[in-house]
Amino acid sequence: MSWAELFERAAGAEVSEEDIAKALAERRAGGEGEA
Amino acid sequence: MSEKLARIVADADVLAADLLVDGDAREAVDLARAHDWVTLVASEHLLDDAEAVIRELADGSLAEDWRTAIEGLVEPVEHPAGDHPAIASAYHGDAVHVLSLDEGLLTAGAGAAIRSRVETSVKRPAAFVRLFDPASMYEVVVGGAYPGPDRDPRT
Repeated sequence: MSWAELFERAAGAEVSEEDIAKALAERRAGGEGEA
Repeated sequence: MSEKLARIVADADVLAADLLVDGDAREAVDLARAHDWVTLVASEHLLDDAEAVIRELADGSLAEDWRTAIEGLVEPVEHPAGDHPAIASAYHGDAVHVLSLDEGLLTAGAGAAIRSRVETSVKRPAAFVRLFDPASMYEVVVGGAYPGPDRDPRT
């Protein structure tokens, strides 16, 4: 799958950098989870 | 040393923002997608984190397909499980740039502490894009006149 297709599929996610920061911080605070 | 200047770690937040947000993160990672002499370094732990965030905020199918694509782009490195994935990837992968959105890594104090152990600096993607001019970096890292991007960053 090309990057263009991935970006197209991801375009509707309506995710912010703050959402990502929070999700990553929670994951790392909890240790390594299942990917 | 010069080759190290084109070795980059994008932390899991930047990789997830590249896919899900666009903007500065995508512009930064595009530098690696568009130039085969720019190396994106990442450990399995770092990619696991990004994949988990993508799965949580988007969906599992997109996360799996992203993992396949990113594994085709990065140079893999290994480090112990307890280490910070981005800093350890830079250390083991000889990367002088770490791109992050984590305020905890971007403070002056954190930067000084990291540089005392690892020859790398942590930057926001926007700062990296301003700093990393492909034409001037090409002369330093590869030598000669910059021929322009050598890969389509969307394939």
